[in-house]
Amino acid sequence: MDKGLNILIVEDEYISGILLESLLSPYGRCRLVKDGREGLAILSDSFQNGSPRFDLVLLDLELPGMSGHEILKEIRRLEQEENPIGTAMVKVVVVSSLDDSQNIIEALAIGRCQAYLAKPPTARRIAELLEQFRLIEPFTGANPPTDNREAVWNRVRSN
Amino acid sequence: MEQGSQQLIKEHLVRQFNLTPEQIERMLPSFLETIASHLDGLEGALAENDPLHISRAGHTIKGAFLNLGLDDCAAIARQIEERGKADDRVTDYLQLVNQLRALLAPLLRQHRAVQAG
Repeated sequence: MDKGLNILIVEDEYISGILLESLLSPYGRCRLVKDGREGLAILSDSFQNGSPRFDLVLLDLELPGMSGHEILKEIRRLEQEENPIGTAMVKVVVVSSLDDSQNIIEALAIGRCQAYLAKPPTARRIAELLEQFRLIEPFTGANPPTDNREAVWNRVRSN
Repeated sequence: MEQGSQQLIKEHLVRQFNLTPEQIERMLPSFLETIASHLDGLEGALAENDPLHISRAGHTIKGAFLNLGLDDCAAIARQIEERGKADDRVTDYLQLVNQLRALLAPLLRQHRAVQAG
């Protein structure tokens, strides 16, 4: 069934990765990778082939080997290489602890990411981000559901 | 939060992540294994005596604690992270890790007892 969003999660810490995947999987297909280079390879294929087109990338800022800033810079370079006149950038949300604010400000200030998500995330905050990006219709109830895929998918905008 | 109760972690996971009891039952054993593994990783970093490595290990386990609502443990992990980042070579990091082990001992004991059946 071709329904829902395509989401890439780059997070090396197991618990954070699983919880992010749980929060986001009701909205579509999540691909969770632990390594920044693997994430870049997936995105590079996506930019070259146009498929799968990722609606959203969640990127941990503290990854081993390659920092989140380096990965962000590389994402934008690859994007530019494949689509030099394109204006549509993949939406990247950096994920970090609140006390890592300097890193978050830097990522936002140089325009390489669209938003940040403080750890630990919540179902409500995820819904707000998706609403902000106009990827879903606004929720009117209390907490958005995380276990009722059909109800959540019905709010996903068709592209 | 008292650090020794699986029940409190479960309640936190419901509140914070809106997870169902079935999802939590499935996830929790691997989460507790991960915490034990992060503690070993932190001790491994201490053995290398590299403050930057210690800081990174502190950062990793801090995030895991926050996810599970283990705020007292997260506060200690944050101290480890911050002092390592500041290249502090005077702090007794082992004493801080031992504090973490003591706080987590009931929880990990309970987990191992359940796993052993």
